[in-house]
Amino acid sequence: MKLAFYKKLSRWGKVGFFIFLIINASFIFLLLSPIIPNLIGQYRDDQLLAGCNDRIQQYRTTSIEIKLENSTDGTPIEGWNVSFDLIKHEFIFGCNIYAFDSLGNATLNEAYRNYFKNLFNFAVLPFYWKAYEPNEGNFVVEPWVNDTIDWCIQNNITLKGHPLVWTRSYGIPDWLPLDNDSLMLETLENRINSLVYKYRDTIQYWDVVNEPVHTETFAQLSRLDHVLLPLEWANSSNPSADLTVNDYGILGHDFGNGPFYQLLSDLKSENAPFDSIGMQAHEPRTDWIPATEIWNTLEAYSQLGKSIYITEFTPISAPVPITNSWKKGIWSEAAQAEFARRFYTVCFSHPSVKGVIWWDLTDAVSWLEGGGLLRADLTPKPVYDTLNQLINTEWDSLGSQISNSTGGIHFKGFYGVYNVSVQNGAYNFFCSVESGKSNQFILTI
Amino acid sequence: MTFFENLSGFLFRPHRQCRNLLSEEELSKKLKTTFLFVLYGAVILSTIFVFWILYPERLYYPVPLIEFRQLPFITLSTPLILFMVFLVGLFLIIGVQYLAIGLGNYLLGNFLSRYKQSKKGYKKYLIVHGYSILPLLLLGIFTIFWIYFFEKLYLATEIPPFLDFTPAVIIFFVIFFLFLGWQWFVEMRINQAFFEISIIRAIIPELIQIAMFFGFIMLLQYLIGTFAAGTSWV
Repeated sequence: MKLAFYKKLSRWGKVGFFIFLIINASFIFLLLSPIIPNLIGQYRDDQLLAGCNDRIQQYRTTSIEIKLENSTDGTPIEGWNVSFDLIKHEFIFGCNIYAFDSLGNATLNEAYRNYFKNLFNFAVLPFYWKAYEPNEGNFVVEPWVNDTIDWCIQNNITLKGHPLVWTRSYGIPDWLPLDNDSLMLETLENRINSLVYKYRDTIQYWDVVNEPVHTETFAQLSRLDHVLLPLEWANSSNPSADLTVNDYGILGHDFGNGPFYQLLSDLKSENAPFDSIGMQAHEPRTDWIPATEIWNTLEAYSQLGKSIYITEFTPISAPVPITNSWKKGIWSEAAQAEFARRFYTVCFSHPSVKGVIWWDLTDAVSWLEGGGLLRADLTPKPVYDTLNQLINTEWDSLGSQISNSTGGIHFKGFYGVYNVSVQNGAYNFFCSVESGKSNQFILTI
Repeated sequence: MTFFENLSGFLFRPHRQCRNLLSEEELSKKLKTTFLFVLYGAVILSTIFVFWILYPERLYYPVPLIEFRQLPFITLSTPLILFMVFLVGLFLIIGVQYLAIGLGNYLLGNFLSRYKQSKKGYKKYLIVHGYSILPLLLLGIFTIFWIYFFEKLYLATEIPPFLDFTPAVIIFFVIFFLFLGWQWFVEMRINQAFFEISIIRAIIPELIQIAMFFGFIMLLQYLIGTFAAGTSWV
């Protein structure tokens, strides 16, 4: 019947019929199109995440060999029980530690410490100029900083200072001579040199310039010099420090074609001594950044050949609409946990990413409403449990084996520091499994 | 002469198709068909117009609607704004393109014609003039796929400029004007056949239309710039 209708049409009628079909089909496609990207976006994200485990195995784990030798004659020790436990990831799982001992009572402070050290191997200390030195030469928070450093070192937590240069709010003290550019520069140089040198034994990571493409330059320097000079000063004070340039609005929005990428390229061309790229991950603040867009940004920036840190990550649980994603709905504790799980998994599976830093542990002090891993009363939210499950269970290396005839045990484990226990704790060793090394250890007993 | 023949005919050989259609009997039924086709085209184009704004709003950039929200100096909900955009689209196609420009063409065509078109009234002109929206309809279809698959064409978040002139947007507008040129050409050939005038005379209503079109674009830029600037004292 339908075919007969078509056959009755003249040649021009058939062409017209075909045009009519195209117009109608396109219109139907248009009407359905709002749900298509959601379906495609979710599918693509799920596909990416499905491949993450393989990449994590490829980039984050290595073959580890531990051999037991007799100290007297060097003969292999066979048949002994050797257990191993990853006690600190090489990958940075960090958080700022701004609320350390500042929550009002000992119980809350103790809970803060416990939750922090259970999850994180890395802490960010505040060096906002205005707060750190409210009056020239008066470093009011230094005792607190030193106490925090001591506690972190005792708990095997690596430290970073943030930020050395930031021309917004807390980055500029009131006493700075804003009308004298050369004096301002000299003062900034002194600050950077003295801080980096003073803490050279305890702080090896610095966010040198914060948000350089979103802020005014210091003392009317060019954008390049605004970053380049502080990097050079910091590097001269501690050449072994890991120096980061940090900005926001990058992840999921800039695929290597934005001003931040251009600035980093220019810095690289100038042989600027920066070691890593810092990407904040909370702008816009209600975005559920799709995993594929995170991945594409990381891929683009990895072309620069530097390490990448997610320097400030704050997904929220406050009930506001989720934006800019295939994911629809309202942010909640469950949504926060799910997004964080996806985010950490994608970042952990990318070879250029060296760390992810959560920004504010608890809602009590979170800069964004509901941005903490813990509620204001310091009870853990689902996101804390999710990260705990990932970091301390799924991405943990723990086991025991009996040494073979060569005295060795072999296993595949994550990069990091291991506690190796022989014969149920009769002998204990620490082995540091590092990327780019052979990771064979001989334990002499 | 079937509806489908009119679709392809007015697109690819408008002059001949216009004569063929007018030579048929019972033209009052044809007017109904043409009007329904224009209505159908207007609904599609208005929906595309809404999606042109809705796409970036919903999927990529959450900002542009704010500008529209402020334009009438009152706070409107997003669905209401989108419905208003849809109505504006309907008005532009049916009211402006079909009826008003049709009337302008008819009066000018009559003036330019050596014959007095007493037997060919305005209603008769509307029968053939309606099919001149076909290239616009194809432009709409092209726009759907362009936005969806290639470029997130979006109204700039700051006004002015009204549009961000990236290479992709420039390419889009080159194609946009090719389709618009096609539409003007179809209209011109219809005028030529309907009023039995030379091609030179048939161009005149189109030239006036082009001048008014660019005048409208410039006025739009100016008005939006003025309104956007004026929001501070709302």
